[in-house]
Amino acid sequence: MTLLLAAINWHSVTFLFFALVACAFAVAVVATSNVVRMAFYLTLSLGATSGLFFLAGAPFVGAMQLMIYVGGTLVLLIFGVMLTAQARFISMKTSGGEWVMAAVLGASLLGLLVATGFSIESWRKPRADLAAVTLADGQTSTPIGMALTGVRVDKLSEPSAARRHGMSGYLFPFVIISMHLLVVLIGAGYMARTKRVGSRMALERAAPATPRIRRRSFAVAGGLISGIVVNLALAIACFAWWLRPPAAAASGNSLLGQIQILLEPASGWLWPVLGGLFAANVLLLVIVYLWQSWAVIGLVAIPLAQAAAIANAGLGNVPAVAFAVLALAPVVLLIVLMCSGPRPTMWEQMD
Amino acid sequence: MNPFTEPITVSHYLAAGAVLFVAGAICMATKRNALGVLMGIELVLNGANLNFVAFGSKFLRTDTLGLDGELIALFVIVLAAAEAAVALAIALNFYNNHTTIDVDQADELKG
Repeated sequence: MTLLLAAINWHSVTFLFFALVACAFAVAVVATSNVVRMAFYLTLSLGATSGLFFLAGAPFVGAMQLMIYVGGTLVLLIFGVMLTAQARFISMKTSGGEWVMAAVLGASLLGLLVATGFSIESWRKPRADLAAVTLADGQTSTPIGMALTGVRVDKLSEPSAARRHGMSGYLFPFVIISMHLLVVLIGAGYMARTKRVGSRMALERAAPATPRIRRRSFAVAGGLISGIVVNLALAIACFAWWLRPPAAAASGNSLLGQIQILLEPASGWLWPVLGGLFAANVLLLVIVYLWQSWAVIGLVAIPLAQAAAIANAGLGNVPAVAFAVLALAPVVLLIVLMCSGPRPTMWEQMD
Repeated sequence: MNPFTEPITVSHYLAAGAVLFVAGAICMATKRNALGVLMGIELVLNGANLNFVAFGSKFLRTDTLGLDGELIALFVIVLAAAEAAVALAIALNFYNNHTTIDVDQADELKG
């Protein structure tokens, strides 16, 4: 038992404790949707981070972390939470789809960062002559103060001439950050002051309800049917073009062969062009769905471009016009849907 | 690989900083409360600070950033405090004018 205790590296144990507390409460900040609890978890996470700073031999930074972050910034945040703490803002849920997206992105980012952190050989090895480091190496507050006034006492014994180059110190950033803090102080005080008349009027006004999109069933159904027909035609034509060489010998026995004969006069460049335009169409549809109404212009332009491509490729004008009509139908219905909704669109605002 | 007996390296600090950073980034992206977004920013800055201090620490490597790491961490802390003050003032102003703190509703400047 005593042997087991002697083998324990207390530096590592303390690090594990602080790191686990910091990381666990950081994840808890993300996981909870209650803003008051978020503030509390953030306090614990930042406090544990200051413990990590102390452990890395930076006691001055750790103390500043406790005083400025935990003592100042977080108190500010908690005041903000209290000033805006109405029942409907205390707990704001995030939708499930966003959670899935965030989990995927976060996991990949975390994997990348951790893999990078462990990829360099010299980062993975602990310092060999750890006994040579004394406690005096951790007392950095005097050198930090000297560096802020422009004298780097820690670099006087630097043997490398290239590193001695950075001995000019941090006087200029220090002055700039002082002015920055003064400006921020005045600006924040100016912005956050109470404007009595305006704020009372605004508070009496009810918060705007989220716009509800009125559904017009014929527009939705018509758009869906037309879109399905157009996409089916595109898919069948592309599939037939993809299978072209073997079935050209079959010469019209099957339905697929007949479609291929129908498509025979078309030039080879048509299908990549149609495919690219179709992808652009889908992208624009997503943009329109997120209420960037201007993208409807693109949705009108793309079927016209597709029809022009079909007409130029030697398939004849009739299929081109039919395709354009079918492809434009959902766009027209979409415009009808947008203009009839309660939300003011671009066109209504122009009226 | 007993974690209680292995000495601590820079990589361990980087891993802890990465967790803080990712948690902050997700917090910024998913929270609808403006104050929640602010807390995410604080977490991200803390993760970066942890890396700076770890690279500057003489207890972890022979060849370190030296005092520069700690100084940059100090500047980041001060700038984070200033940023939090301004952002909080903006959030309170927005709340006064719109009676909401939902960032999804702050779309008046949208074209």
